[in-house]
Amino acid sequence: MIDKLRQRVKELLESKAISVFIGYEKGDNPQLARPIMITSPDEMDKLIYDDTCIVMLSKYLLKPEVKALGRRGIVASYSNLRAITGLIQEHQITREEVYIIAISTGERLPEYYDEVIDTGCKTDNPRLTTQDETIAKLLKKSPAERWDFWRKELEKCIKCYACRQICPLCYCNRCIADKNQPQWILTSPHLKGNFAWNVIRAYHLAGRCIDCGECERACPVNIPLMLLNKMLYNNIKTNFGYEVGFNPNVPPPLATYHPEDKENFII
Amino acid sequence: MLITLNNLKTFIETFIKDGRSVVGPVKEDNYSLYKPLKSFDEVNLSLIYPTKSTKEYFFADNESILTYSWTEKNKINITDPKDPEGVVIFGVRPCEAVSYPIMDKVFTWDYNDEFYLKRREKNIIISVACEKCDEFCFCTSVGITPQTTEGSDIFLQKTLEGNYSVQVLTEKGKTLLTSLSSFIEDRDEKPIDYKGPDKKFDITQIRSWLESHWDEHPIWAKITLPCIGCGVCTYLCPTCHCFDIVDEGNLKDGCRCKNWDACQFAMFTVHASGHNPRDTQSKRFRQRVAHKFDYYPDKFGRTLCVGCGRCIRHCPTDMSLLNVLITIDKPIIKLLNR
Repeated sequence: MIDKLRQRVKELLESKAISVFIGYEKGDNPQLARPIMITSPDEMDKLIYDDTCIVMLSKYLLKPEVKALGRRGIVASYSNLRAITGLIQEHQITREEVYIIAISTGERLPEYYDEVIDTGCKTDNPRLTTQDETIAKLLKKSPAERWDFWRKELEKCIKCYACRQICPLCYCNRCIADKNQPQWILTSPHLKGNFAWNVIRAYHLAGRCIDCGECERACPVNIPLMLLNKMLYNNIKTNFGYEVGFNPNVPPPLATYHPEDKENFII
Repeated sequence: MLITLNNLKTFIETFIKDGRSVVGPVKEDNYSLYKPLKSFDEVNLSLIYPTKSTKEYFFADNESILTYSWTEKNKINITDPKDPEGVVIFGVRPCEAVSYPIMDKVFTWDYNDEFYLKRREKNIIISVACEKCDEFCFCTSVGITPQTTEGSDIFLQKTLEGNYSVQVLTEKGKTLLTSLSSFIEDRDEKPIDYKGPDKKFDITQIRSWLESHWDEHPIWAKITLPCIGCGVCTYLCPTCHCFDIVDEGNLKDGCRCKNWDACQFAMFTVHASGHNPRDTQSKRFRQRVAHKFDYYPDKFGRTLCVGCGRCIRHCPTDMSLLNVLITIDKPIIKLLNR
């Protein structure tokens, strides 16, 4: 399979269909493959694809340094495809500027790719299976108990912003947390500042989070951030029948307005 | 001198019972840290080291440096913060203990940072020599070994019989031990001889390369592409020491806070004019490498890195400092330089 991927990337680079290919190489961490931007067919032996390829590569499609290299090719697993579709939907990239080689992992793939390779790998998000269960358990608790739960978790936050930086849908040029005239969100990593940051980030991703779990994986202090995101994800799904990242032509429910919209939530 | 594991337990628990704050390495789910201990049983010495370093006990991630309030007569009251309590830090790894003398140089250089120095004076460090490492450790490459005692007040080293040999290194350590000398046996056992990780690069080579190649070198743009610009590496690093001063308040009162800051953030060097001298992630990553392996050594005569490997182990995209250093150290670079 890897031979097939290498062969295709080599052809794409040689034919100048793309100038850079975003893939994975073996790095220093045995559990985590490192993203690599390949610009020359000679580098093909570095390219790998296995169960350690979990970093969301779509983030690099937006990176100015990578954009500057020219038309980009990318290897995209299920979550990556959804992220790319989400980015197209939000007009951050156009379908034409990216050549997508999808990796089939047996899930329903968004139909936005140029070709698909079946790897036999099941790498995509093995850790995202238990959120709904934990959410159900938390919802059975009293507000005071839930508050305690989140206070303990969010106290740990050190404001390293790894959640934001790794998130494929966090692409603001200047995040609200970085705006200081006025300072909208307290920058201090104390409980108040941590609540402000993490709750605002979760809300900003409502209806936009693609459920990839990268924020939680990147978090060095292991805050279960996906509980917040998944709860909002489920709410959007129930109320609007909408899941982001499958069809770029569907308008995001929280970014559209219709005169017939229900207004029963307004007191 | 020698202490048995049982006596070590009683030794630490005596401090806790006496009402002293004792912190030690604790593992919680996927996350580990130096945490205030309720009992010795919480301590996990099988960790190579916790995710979070002991840095926060010297240089807090968030602390108030003054508070203010408006009085009724429209006058402002300014209050200094209370002096911090000292803590006994148990189970520090030798590499991390070296970070304290390294940070001392910065916090006493052009200005005496009283917030750091008060904690530094009061905190007592009980280090435990390493018996294992992982692929991310590289202390031996920056001149530290699993037996380095610098920065520790008391140094423990596991013996072949499973006890701990005790070295007292400072007056603070001596005072601490005198009160509890009954736990210490006056005999010696052979400590486990552990060599640590193999040497992975040559700091002299790296420094001379950094001095002659600044950001114009194409390697920076290429090698730093995976970097996403978060603060994991700097915040987990025991020697990264940048901070930001912010005011937080309302109409009645507020405080001035000293918070950790990171050179990897895009906002870190933005000037008031809007100009950003480090406008790309490659320049920001280059800054971190050059600060640790060139600027700091230039100013203070040693490397600003203890080789703990946290920045590599916990990087969400495996943007490995070690890989950068090894690449710089490779002879191939010398060819590229022509």
